[in-house]
Amino acid sequence: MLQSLAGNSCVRLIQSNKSAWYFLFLVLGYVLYLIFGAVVFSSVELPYEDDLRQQLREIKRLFLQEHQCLSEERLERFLSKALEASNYGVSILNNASASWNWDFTSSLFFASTVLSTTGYGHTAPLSDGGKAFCIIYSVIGIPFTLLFLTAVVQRIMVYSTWRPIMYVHTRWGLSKPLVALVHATLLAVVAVSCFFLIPAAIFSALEENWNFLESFYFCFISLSTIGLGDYVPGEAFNQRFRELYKLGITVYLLLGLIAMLVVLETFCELQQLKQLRKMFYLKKEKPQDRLAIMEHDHLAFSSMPDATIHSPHEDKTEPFVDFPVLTSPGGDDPMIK
Amino acid sequence: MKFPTENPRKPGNWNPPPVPVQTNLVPPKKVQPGMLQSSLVQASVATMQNPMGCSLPRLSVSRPASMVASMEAVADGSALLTVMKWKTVLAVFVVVVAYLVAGGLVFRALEQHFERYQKDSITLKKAAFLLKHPCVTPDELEELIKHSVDAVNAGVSPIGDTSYNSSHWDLGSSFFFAGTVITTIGYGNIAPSTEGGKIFCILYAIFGIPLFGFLLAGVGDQLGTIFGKSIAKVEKMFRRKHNQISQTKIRVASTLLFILAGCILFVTIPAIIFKHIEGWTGLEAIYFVVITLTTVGIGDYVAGGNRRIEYRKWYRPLVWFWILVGLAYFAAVLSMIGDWLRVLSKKTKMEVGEIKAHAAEWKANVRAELRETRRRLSVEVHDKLQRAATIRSMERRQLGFDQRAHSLDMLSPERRAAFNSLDATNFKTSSQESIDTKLNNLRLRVEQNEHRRSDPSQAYSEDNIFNRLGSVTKLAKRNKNRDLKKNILDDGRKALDSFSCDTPPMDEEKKEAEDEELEKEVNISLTNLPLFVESPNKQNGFVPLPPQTKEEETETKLEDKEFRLQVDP
Repeated sequence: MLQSLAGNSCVRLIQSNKSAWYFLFLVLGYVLYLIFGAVVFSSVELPYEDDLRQQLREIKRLFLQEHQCLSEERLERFLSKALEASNYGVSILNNASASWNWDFTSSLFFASTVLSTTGYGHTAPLSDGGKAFCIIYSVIGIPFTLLFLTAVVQRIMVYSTWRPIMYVHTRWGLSKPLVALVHATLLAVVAVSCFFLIPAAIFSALEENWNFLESFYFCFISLSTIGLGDYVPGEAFNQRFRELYKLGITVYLLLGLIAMLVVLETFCELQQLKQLRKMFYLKKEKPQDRLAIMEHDHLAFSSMPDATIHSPHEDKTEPFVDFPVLTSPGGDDPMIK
Repeated sequence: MKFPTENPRKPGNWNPPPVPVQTNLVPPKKVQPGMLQSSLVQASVATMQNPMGCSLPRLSVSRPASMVASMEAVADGSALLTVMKWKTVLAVFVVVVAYLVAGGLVFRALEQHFERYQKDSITLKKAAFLLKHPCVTPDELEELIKHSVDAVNAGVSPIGDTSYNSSHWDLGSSFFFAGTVITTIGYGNIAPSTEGGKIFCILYAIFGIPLFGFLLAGVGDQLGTIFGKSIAKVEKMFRRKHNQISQTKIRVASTLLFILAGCILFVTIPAIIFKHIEGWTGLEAIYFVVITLTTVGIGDYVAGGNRRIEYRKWYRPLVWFWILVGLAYFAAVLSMIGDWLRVLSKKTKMEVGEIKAHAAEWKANVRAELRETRRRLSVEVHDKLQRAATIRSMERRQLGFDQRAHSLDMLSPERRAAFNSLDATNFKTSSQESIDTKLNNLRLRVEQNEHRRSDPSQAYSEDNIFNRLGSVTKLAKRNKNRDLKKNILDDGRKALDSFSCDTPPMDEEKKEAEDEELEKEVNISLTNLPLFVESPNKQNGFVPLPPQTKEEETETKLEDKEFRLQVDP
């Protein structure tokens, strides 16, 4: 008996922990996928960047030597090359040698922006190999990212949305729609303050050329996955702790994206928005209607035996109806007498 | 004095029940069990009828009503579904297009001014650089490059002639930029530089992205239905050709074929077009298509972004429409791939199993609750009906007791009537026998008198005559009918005649006498008792008259009693 009980308890623990283990495997897989992409981008793009940088240095040196014989044509050639390099993310300003666009942390940052579909464009693959890999990497990685984010959001929703609403509903006796609406509003306020206002203040403090509006603009463009790329943190030539800063931004973007999805899911589950969605998501309601029809059919089927039970009673009642008519006058006669 | 005392006793014995009384009494016997049964039956009928009357209309009315309501709901739902499909999609599409046009106008108004300013400044710097050509220093060169890069970031290029009038913020470009913002592609080749532009971009995206989501969902649903129908047709084709192949393989093959067709339609053909128009390589074109449809939007390659090429007016709107349809298709493909990944992974299988088990438990609980509620309702209704039935049955039982009491009152005259009738029959039979026996006695005694002619015999004969007359009077009293009375008188006269004629005895009479010796003794004893009582009152001369007067009195009393009996019921 004890052995069987112990066995059952072990099996239950394993089964209950299976989902947790699989979730950990999913997280590890996602992290490994990002690291893998970063390594590939770094190994492919770094040599090409180095060559381009050397070419620019030679061009600059030649320009200085031929300083006295400068003409308009030569100037435009120089400018076109310089601007083309700047478009590719290569800077030719002073101390440019200190910054690299395709080191590991930068590559990790780039990979995360690709998988989250943000795509700043401050750096881009230059070689054909990098472009081909980027295609394959994104086609496979983006669905994988969606699966990951969905699983994370579902687990967070249990603790951040459903339990508080049920607690307040049972404890204070308020109606669920009202509690859900208030909870969603509070959650939105908390998310905006934690993932937009505070990070904006931090970025405006760290980045020299950014004010608060520009920082807030960056946060919004990033978390909505638009990713225009006109403002990208960590790109200044004298940035301190650049690698750590990049890594922090990557973590911030990932967490911020999860928080945004949680807020969106919370609002989507409100009854008011569900009614609004019903106007647009019509096809999805068909199976529900079918289920309702099945339930009604079940009800109708269950009502049949009741009808059969009642019918013999009706037959039995018919012959008895005549007796009181006959007996009542008979009974009245002795009363009259 | 004794005579009137005897009269009330005898009339009690002589009271026969009247015929109408009997007719009244007989029905109660039949009615009583009928009444009892009817009361019980009515109670049972009440118990039967009440649940039928109360429960049936509820069941019959509610369930068909619910069925009709459900059918109407389904019909309305289907009607709404058919109507809302196209209307909603068109409405959302129109709203999105209007939103894009408005956004384009606003971006142009905000950004174009700043662009002109940037262009003028870069031109002036270039002129200054040319003037200072002989005296150029590295610092000046750095400044020049920095300004150039900033200009490029702002969307202005100092290369080439400034005479061309192309701008990043004209209506077409602004429209394109707004589209990239709503779809979250965000190439970044163009970006707002002013504070107003940035604030508007934030608000524009907050409202625009969900709106575009609705449109994308609608288009995706329609594409999904088209795929579903086409896949079904292909399955039918394969089934006709190859019956042995399993259904799963057919579905997988057909799905892969349509994915391939979709890729050709939305990826390969546009890539070829872009390669031809934009001057890109094949890889660059495919790269741009994938980066765009997955909404990554790196922005290193942008269709319609090259200023050296003169694009036609319809080129950029067509590119945007391709992006819309391609996004819907690509989203469907990505979701399909996501579903496959879920199927392949064990974790999702476990989750699906748990979800199915949870759903099954939920359904079972819901069904059980529904059944319990039904049972509770039926039990409550049944209890109420039983209570009502019991109350009615109690009332009817009380009525039944009253009827029984009345019937008991009626029983007493019935018993009296039956008793009287039995007595009457007994009296009739006894009277006839007594008459016959007494006649025989008279004959025998006459014979004895003939054989014995002594005086004591004469005295004995006289005593016998008196005894016989007394018995005759008693018989007359007992008999009520006049006919019987006449017969008795005739018999008496015959007896007297026989006494006077001295007829001889017969053998038959002897035999009868021998057989009825015991009866004679009994009759003698009975006749002797009243004789002793009546002898001192009677006189020889008034013997025939008193019985007539007595008979009349008894008749009058009987009539009075009859009236009383009739009045009592």
